[in-house]
Amino acid sequence: MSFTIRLRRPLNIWVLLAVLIVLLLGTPIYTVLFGLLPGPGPNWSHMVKYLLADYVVNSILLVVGTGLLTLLWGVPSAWFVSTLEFRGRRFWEWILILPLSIPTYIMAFTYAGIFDYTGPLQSIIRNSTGLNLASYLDIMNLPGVMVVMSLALFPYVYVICRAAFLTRYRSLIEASQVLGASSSRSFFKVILPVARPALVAGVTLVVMEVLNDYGAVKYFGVPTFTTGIFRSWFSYEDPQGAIYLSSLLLLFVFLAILFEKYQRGGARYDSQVPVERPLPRKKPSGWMSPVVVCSCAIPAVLGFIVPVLQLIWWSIQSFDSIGYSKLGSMVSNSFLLACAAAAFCVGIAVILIFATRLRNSRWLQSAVRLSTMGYAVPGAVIAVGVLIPLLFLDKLWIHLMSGWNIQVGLLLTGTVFGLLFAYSVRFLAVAFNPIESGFQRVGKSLHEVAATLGVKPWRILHRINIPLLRGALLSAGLLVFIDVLKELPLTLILRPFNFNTLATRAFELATDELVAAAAVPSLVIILTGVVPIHLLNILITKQKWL
Amino acid sequence: MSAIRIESVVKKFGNQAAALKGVSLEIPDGEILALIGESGSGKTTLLRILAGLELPDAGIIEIGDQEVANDHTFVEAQHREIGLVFQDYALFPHMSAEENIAFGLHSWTAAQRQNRIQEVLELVGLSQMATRYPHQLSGGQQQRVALARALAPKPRMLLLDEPFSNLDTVLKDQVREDVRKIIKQSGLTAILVTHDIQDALSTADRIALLKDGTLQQLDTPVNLYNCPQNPYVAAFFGKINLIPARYQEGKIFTELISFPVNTAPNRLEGLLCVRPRQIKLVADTSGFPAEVIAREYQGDQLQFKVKTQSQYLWCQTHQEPIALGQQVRLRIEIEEPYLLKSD
Repeated sequence: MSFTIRLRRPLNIWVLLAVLIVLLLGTPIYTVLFGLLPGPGPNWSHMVKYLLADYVVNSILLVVGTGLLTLLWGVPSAWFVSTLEFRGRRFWEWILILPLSIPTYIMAFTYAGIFDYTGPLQSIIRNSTGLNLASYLDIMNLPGVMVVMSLALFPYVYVICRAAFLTRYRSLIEASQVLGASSSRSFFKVILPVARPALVAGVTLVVMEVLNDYGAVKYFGVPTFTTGIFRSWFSYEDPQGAIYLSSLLLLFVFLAILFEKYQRGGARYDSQVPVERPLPRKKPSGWMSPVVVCSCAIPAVLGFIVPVLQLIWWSIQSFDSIGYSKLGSMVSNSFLLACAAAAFCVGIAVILIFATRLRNSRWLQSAVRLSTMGYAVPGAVIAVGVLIPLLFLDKLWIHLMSGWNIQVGLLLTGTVFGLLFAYSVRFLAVAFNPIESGFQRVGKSLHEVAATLGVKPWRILHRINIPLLRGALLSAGLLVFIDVLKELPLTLILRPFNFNTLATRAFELATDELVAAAAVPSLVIILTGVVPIHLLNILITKQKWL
Repeated sequence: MSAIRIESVVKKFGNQAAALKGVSLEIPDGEILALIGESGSGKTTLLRILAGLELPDAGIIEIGDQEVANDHTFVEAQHREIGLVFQDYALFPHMSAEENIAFGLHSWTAAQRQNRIQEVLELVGLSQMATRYPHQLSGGQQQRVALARALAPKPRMLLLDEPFSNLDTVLKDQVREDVRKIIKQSGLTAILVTHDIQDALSTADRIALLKDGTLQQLDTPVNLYNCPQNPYVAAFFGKINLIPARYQEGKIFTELISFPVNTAPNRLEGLLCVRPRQIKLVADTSGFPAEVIAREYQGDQLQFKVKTQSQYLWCQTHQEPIALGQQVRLRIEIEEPYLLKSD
């Protein structure tokens, strides 16, 4: 019955376009799932026997360890900056967000350099005390990666918690204070239980990033799923092995999402209306002061100030050895690519959201939502899932052309096209969320009233939605821009031959033990990120993230 | 010929109870109809279905002599030629008043467009405000711009969703009158959705009362007030007492009192509809005894609740001071009695 009714409405070009995009964006997932059918490759039994256990155990330990550490860095600091007034609070509040601009792989090689035998730490200790602590200061292992990654990723937890403490739980905090509870009592008895979904949401983002990471674990020599996929693809030239590992990794991601949904348990903890008024802050009591300052300063200093100072020092040392022209081409490659990806993602997001506005049917809405799940899929998996169909299409093309006796090269593989497509899959959600909340802010009635005035959809989009959404479109584009600038695994696998971005070059230089030379491109990435992170911060604070 | 015909329209949202359970009504050309009901009654859903913003699950919608929705066709909002005024006016914030109005006139020639803009601005009395932006206009002015924008493309009908609910009480009366005048001048058929009884009574020619997705009664304001078809309708337009009664030879008999009436009621036996103002305090013993148990001060009058031997009643008085627990005597004064069917 309901199906016949739907057909009464003439097919709409926007809806068709949206459906097409949704189907297309699912390509990497189909590839991985259908790729399972032919069975595992010849190396699979070897992999299961000698490597898989390592991948699984390391990935699980990494997820759990990094997750717990981000809670340690993120939650107390968020609580203190939201509820207390102390010296330097504003400064720490801001600095604590900034590690978000440092990709995990840059954090990894920077800390590796700091703790290196020739690095500043050991040198100072050696020179001042004459002690050789090399064996105690080795961080190139699993616990080392956990700490380093947690320092780069804790802002996800910090920012979400701070937003929650400042707005949603404000009245609860006040109520518990009025009832005579101390700050710590309000925290443990009231806020922590209520804020659990926010904590888990933050940690889930961290888990996604950990599972996505390739650069840090590779640099520290810790084998995980992502390094396994790379190895299988490039060293063993075994696509089937890569597909099987990818599907296992996808399973992990799926379980993480499922867990997040389960713990939320349908309960709504966010029913309170955000309040604009800031919470009146109390001063910490005498013995609490140093605890408070340390809780905020340690993650901020270790997560941002130390690595950035180190990178600046290396840059000064190595700047002359880097060709300006090389740096220029890296920067322009990176920026052009990131701009194009941003435009792609914003365009796609606008089409998808606009289509759901035109036809508010539930299946279209769910389909569109599903297409933003690419953000949870690790870059290496998307890369494999994009590369295989592209190679197939290229082979088909070459085969067809050779039938005409025409010699042609690869058309899609190893071109910017494949890369842009992969970015769209992975970063659509980044553009989607701010634009969707922009649409929500503008409201449905403007759109509907325009429709009743007999105006065509294209004109509504052009005259009403786009002008009113300019801010949201711009911030969405900026967010994608920054993410693409930092992105490593996708770009490494899919980039055209000899095409270097800031990220790939920084990683290559670092892997080639030219850490100092890697500092300049790394700094460019970080500094470009710092400005828009302010924007990201505003978006998250206003509950427009996730 | 009726301008709008709605036949057996059904709409369900997901797994919830149906928002509309087969509503039928016809609206003649040039009439202003108010759709009234509590929230969740389905009135807004019906308006959105008429506008083409929602798809009915079943039923027929006819505008003029065109079927715009039935089992196999559905005309989208873009092609229905209707004017819509939203509760929040939905003015485009980045366009001036005249740009807002011009938006629906994109297929007109420039000269025609300019003329029409002037015409409707004059109609709503805002010729001086043409270049102002929505945020520079007062609530009442914004609403008139919204009305002008809806009227500009000469729609076949006008739909208004809670048009007065965002206005101050002081402004409301004037705006209601203005809006009614503007609609009547343009000669359009109009449907307005409201939850406010006063809006409906003072603006509409006829009122359709909806409850839980079904039409309770469609009638003139006077008839709805005086001759409700069921207790829900009776109670909707103000406090009412339903007293079991029967009619015999020019007199109404109730358990409390019997009294003569001028005209015979619509049926011989049933529930007599008595508004609070139709119960009078009497000084002598001719009335029936009652005890005052609650009071509601309402400015120029006082409503009070009494307990009688058989039931509770709401009464009304202008001047007499009434105290709680006071013993009073009351009389019912009705010239044209109306009886509801008792179950």
